[in-house]
Formats: sequence, structure tokens, C-alpha cells
Amino acid sequence: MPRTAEFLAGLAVIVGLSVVGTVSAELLDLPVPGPIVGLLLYIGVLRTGMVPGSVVAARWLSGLLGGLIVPPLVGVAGFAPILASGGWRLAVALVAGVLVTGLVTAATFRLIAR
Amino acid sequence: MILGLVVSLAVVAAFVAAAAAIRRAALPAAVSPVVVTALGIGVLLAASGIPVARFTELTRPLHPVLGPAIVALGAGVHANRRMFAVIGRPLAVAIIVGTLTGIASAAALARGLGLGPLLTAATLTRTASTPFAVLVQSRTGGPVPLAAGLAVATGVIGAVILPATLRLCGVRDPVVIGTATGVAAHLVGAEAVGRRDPVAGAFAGAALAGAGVLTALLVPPLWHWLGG
Repeated sequence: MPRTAEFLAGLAVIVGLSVVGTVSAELLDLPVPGPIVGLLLYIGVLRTGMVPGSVVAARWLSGLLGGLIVPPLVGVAGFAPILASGGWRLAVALVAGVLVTGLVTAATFRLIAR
Repeated sequence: MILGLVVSLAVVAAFVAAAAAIRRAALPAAVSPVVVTALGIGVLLAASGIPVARFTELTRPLHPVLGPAIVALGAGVHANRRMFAVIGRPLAVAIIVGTLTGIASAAALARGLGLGPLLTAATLTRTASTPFAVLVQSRTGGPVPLAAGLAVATGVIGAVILPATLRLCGVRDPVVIGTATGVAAHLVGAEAVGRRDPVAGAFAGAALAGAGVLTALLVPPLWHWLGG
């Protein structure tokens, strides 16, 4: 199969699984967002080895991920008054929370893996 | 609609250009193209007097792309499946303990620092990436948009300071860095570590999915007890 066709077929598989995941999460009222259901389905599909070319499309899509997070980040500015009301306390809560969570996760990993 | 498509494409193009420029200049990992692009857009909006809400509305065409981009993270997990099989147990324990720490620290810090009910409720889903945070908050009646904003802010803070802090603490293993950054800083963190190291990105992807699922299962039943 030519490369472009393989890429488009892979893209179609990924988009299709995202839709299937979203629809089934909604219909079954799952406590998990649709794309995560799609992610698990996609791992299952990859294991069958039926769509080896989709990995190129997956890499391309993953590369766009950062760009997709830009608008929500810009949107945080819309909450400036509430965030400012939290002031240094909110900043401390967020920074300390991230550091504690990350360091505990890493320490646990190393402890169990030893 | 057409204007929205143009703006959306421009945002993605600006991000891709920023990422390429940062890579070429070999800037430190803390310089996130996501943050650089967002700051640039913020400056443009402020200079031109366009409200943030208008920009958010114009970028709606990007929403349907996010789902497939998250599904695509499965390829990284699959590519590293042998490693996942070998270290499945420490990975699972680390994700569970890390997520519990994330939820507990959010509740404790919010209470200890006296953040008030609205911000406290919004920080409870901070360990979950935005789609999970939105799901949990809409089920519990929490402040959905504010929680989404705080989830993203948490991701950015983690993406910028966490990998460097871990390295300072002597953690060099991309598997551990990826897992910790995925739990604490979910999607933005996974994007940041994955850009430098595909293995770290794969584990961050698995970690963010695990942390999100746990948050979605644990936070709603504990909502009032946690202070939401």
C-alpha cells in the first residue's frame, strides 16, 4: 500500500475508534471519558496486528497534541479574577501539590521496582 | 466558521513552529512550546483587544481533534508493551499511590491554605486531565470551566518544574520520569516529556489514563468529605 493511503487508513481507524469510544462511554454512562475508551480499544486493535501503518498517523496526531492544549491554556486567562482571589495561596497549593504528587509517584515506583 | 478554521490552523501551526524552533535552539526542557505559544497568543489578544472568550470560541474546530489525539497515545503504549509487561506492578502501584496523593494533597492544601469552597472544589480534580476533570465536575455539580482551567494550569506547572526537579533528585530513568509526570501533570506533562523521550511519553500516557480513571472513580463518592 502506498504511504499516503496507509497514513489515511490509519488516521481513519484512530478517528473511528475515538468516535466509537465517545458514543459507547455516553450510551453506557461510563465513568471514563470516551477518548480513553478509544485509547484502550486502539491498543487492542494494535495487538491484532491488522493496522501496522496506523502508527505513523498516531505519531503525527500525537505531535499535534500540544497545539490542542494551547486554547484551554489561553482560556485560563478568562478566570484571572477568581485565580487572583486565590492569590499566593492558590499558587502554593498548585505548585506544592504537583511536586508532592510527582515525587511520591517516582519514589513509590523506585521502591516497588527495587 | 471559516474564520474559526483559519484561527485553529494558525494556533496549531504556531505551536508546531514554536516546538521546532525550541528544538533547534536546544533550549532547556522547561521551555514548553505550549506555554510559549499560549503566551504569544495572550499578548496578541491583549494588544488587539480581542476578548479571550472570543478566541476560545473561534478555536472550537480543534475540539473534535483532541479525542483522536488522545486515542493515538495508545501507539506509544503498544510500542513499549514488553517494558510494560516487565514493570507492570511498580507502574500500577505508583499510579495508584500517586493519584491518591494527588487527590489528598489537593484537599489538604486547599483546606490548610483556606482557598474557599469554589477553588477547593475546582482543585479536587487537578490530578486528572481536562476530559476527566470535566466529566467528574459535571457529575458532582462542581465548577466545570474553572476546574478545567486549573487542570490545565496544573499540567503546565508540572510540565515546567517536575522533570527538572526529579532529575535534581537523581531520577534519570525515563520510565519513572514519564510515570510521575503523567500522574502529576497529565496531558501537558505527557506532551512535554514525550517530545524529548518517546519512552517517557508512553509511560506518561499510561499514567495519565490510569490517574484519570482513578480520579473519576474515587472523587465523586468522596466529594463532600474532601470538601467539594
